[in-house]
Amino acid sequence: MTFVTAGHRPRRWAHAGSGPLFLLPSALIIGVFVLYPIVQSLWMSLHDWSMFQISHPFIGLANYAELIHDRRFWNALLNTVIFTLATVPVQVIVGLVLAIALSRSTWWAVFLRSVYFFPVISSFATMAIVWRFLLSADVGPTASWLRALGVTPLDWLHSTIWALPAVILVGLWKNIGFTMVILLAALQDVPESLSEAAVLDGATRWQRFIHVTVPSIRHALLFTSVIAVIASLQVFDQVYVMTRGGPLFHTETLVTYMYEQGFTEYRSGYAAAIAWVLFILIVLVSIVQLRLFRYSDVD
Amino acid sequence: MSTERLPPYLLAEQTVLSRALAIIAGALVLLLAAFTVFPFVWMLLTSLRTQQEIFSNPGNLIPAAFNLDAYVKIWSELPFARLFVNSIVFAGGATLISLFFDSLAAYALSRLDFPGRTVAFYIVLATLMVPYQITLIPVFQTVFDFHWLNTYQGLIVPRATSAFGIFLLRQFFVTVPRDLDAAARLDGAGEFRIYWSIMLPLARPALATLAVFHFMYNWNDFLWPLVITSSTDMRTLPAGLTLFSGQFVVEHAVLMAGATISLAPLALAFFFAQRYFVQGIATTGIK
Amino acid sequence: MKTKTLLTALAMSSMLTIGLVGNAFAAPVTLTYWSGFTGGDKQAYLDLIKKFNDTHPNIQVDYQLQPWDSIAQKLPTAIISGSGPDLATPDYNVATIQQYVANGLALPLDDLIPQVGQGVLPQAVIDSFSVGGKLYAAPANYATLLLYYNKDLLSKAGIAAPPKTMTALQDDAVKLSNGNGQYGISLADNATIQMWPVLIWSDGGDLISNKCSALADPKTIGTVEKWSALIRDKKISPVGSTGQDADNLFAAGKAAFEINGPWAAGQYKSAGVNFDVAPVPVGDSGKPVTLASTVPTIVSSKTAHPKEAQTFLAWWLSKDTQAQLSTAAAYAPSRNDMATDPAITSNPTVAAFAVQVPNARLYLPTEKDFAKIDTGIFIPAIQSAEQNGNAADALKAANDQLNQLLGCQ
Repeated sequence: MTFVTAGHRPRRWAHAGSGPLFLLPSALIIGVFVLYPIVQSLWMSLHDWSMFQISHPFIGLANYAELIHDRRFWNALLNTVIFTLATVPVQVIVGLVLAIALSRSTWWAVFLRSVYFFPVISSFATMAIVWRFLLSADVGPTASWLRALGVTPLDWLHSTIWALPAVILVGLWKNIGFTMVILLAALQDVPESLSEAAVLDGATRWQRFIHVTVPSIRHALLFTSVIAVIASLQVFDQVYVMTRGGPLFHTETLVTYMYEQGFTEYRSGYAAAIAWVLFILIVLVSIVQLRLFRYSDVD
Repeated sequence: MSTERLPPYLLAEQTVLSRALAIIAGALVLLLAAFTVFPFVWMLLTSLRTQQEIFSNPGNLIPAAFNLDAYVKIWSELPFARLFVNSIVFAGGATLISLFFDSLAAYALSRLDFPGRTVAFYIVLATLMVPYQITLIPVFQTVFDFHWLNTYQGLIVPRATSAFGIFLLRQFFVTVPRDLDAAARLDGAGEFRIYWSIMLPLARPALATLAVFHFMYNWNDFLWPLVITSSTDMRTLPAGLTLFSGQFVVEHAVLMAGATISLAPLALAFFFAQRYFVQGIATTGIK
Repeated sequence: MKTKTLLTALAMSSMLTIGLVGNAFAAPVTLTYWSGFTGGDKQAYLDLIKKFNDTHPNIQVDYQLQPWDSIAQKLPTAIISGSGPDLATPDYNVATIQQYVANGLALPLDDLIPQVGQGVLPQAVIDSFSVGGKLYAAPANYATLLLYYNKDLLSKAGIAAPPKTMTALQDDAVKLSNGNGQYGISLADNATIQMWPVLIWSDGGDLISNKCSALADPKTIGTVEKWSALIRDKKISPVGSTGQDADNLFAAGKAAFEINGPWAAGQYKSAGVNFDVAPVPVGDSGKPVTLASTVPTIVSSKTAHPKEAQTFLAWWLSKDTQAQLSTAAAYAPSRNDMATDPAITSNPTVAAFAVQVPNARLYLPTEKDFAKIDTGIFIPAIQSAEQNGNAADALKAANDQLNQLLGCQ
């Protein structure tokens, strides 16, 4: 089928058409309420900025220099990276498996989809409190059942070894449904004709999966992976509620450290520097991801 | 993949091994489901217990008597109806406007050619990469400068579009075959017409998904309303519920009751929107 | 033309009259008050604010409750930009007001002492809320910590009365722990009203002494060593508990002792614990000592109603108000002259807390870097001692860190 290139005539600004106009409302709001504050935070990171003061001395890159020598920063960075590496592959793969398994419209598929998505629609702040109770070796229900069976329950959140896995687990519980739902919507668009053609060609289930399904949903796969990475590198809610970064900083992540510096020690400039280092990290990782997916704009 | 029965080309592969695997897979899926649901069951049951029961007998989940004290307390201590309305206005308003603005922007970024398109997309993407906590105070300052503190517009406008939504919709729009809009352009249709009559209907699963995400994200967000509003009667329900959690005394049953109440509308919205997730493209419109 | 002039004159004179008359019935001054007292105690405060509004038609307080985190995030920027409240409780940690004072965001309360009276406020309050000889905050409440004990657990273990010395407390705690979920004492070490300083002070140690770190003081190290050894070897307390974890443990009957404030009594009662309170046991120093906790209320330096704000604070500190607050929330009155007040003495729990006021010390009340010292230096040292048993090393390292921060040696 020939492809008329009506929409691809080279354009200048005079013929830019409605593109910028369509973009305008979002651009305005994002510009004023998101971009501008982000730029302000960059500005803050170059100053000794305390929320209490009216004037803020300019200190150039001193905050960033301090970060390099800050052991707590490097510890937070390590925890954040471990968290991300453990979370993202599991979240995307399990989400994909569930999406494929449940993409029928049988009643049980619909029911199970709702079940897996339920954590996504709940409020994490409250559910993290629930999880703190459930994981408690002292007042939790599972702990009392285990004790009744004569087993000493694991004190997840107070253990320097198991606290981070606990936080990872709760994050997965919360977010796998999210990946599942996105990929589910994408799977709707996989043309059956292609699958049938593949079977006729003698392809096995696995080959069909690799060569038909995955390429058809690659845009959604890219989306979920990028979002999962960004969200994992920015993990805050469950850590703040469940462990506050403890015990002994074993679950302290970049954003919880940033929050503490900004709102407990009131060092907004230093907190902004942490945020910007995180931002650069995320940008780098995302570029790698986009390359890995051989993402091309022409699509 | 959206038919009731398995299509013939899949039925042919049902061997004994694959049946056994299917059973194991089924068991795992159910186990996972139980694990997923358990915290909610606990939350609901705890909201019906007394403080005494919660602490003296944590393992016994079933409440001795169905105690609605927690719910009564929330109802009597908070301007409940007002908070509920605020939540609907904020979450609903932000979602509806956002769906419109996000899809407009996504359409522009995926279909229309203009200078700076790629840069714009990457800038939008980049805004997702800065943690929101760091922009909290600058945004507070900006909203104050607009004199929008403690108002609906202050709550809604900054949320009337989202980089997340734009990114999501762009990824979906990119998968729609170009033949459709190319044909429409040849017929002389304007860009807005193409967007409205062709693109949007095709992107229904994506739009439904995004609507649920936006609504649920804004509904659950208590931090944003707490920053923008200072009086209880302008707050949303989740923000209002934070008043039950103090520095020292946490009323657990009340907290769980509040969480249950807060979850209910979202569960409803999700069940309602569910049918849009698994709908094949009924007609693609091609030829 | 003439009619028009006449009408205009009429209109203007009536507006003038209304204006003049209106001024006589001036709209009441409204003070906005950002308060962090959410949770269980909030009703006591709400009732008192209502009482003030009912009895003061010319001054109305718009009491706006929000979580502590929210206040911490917004208050400084709000005051600076002019969108802030007239009154506020900036944080439940006393030391936070140092930042507000140092940057000119808090109003000096010159009208307050004249209205309340000299020598009425506890000296600890005056010392911690004053900078450069001026008072900058009024106490919204005043609490001391006592030793809560579970009567059932004690009698089951054959302990007739609560311990009077720290050594006895340690022995009892060991007796009451079974190493498997039943603990002698519920000691929180983070996100809590601090309990460890009470243990350290009672043995004569300290955190900061003469403006420099006392963490490496042998008495401090000795106390921490003793208790952390018992925690590790005899499992008398869980490790790493937050304040809420510790409270939950006691409420569940899983711990026999807890050092806690008056706010906990209500929730323990509703949790069905058969408890009572006793003075904190005396340690090696031989002197009774406990922790005082007070939440400061400041007045914004940008307020348009400084006089009315201080009138409200003076009312808050009046005998009647303090009596009602004590009865409703078991706080000790923030006054030196109410020890024999019937409202206080008639309620044994309230009286028990109030009696400790002279022995109570505040935790790091005037340190501007409070958060850094607390979460960055002190708590990690304690947790390390509990987890790894290296009290001496952990405290010596913390000592160096603290001295560096304070600019000592």
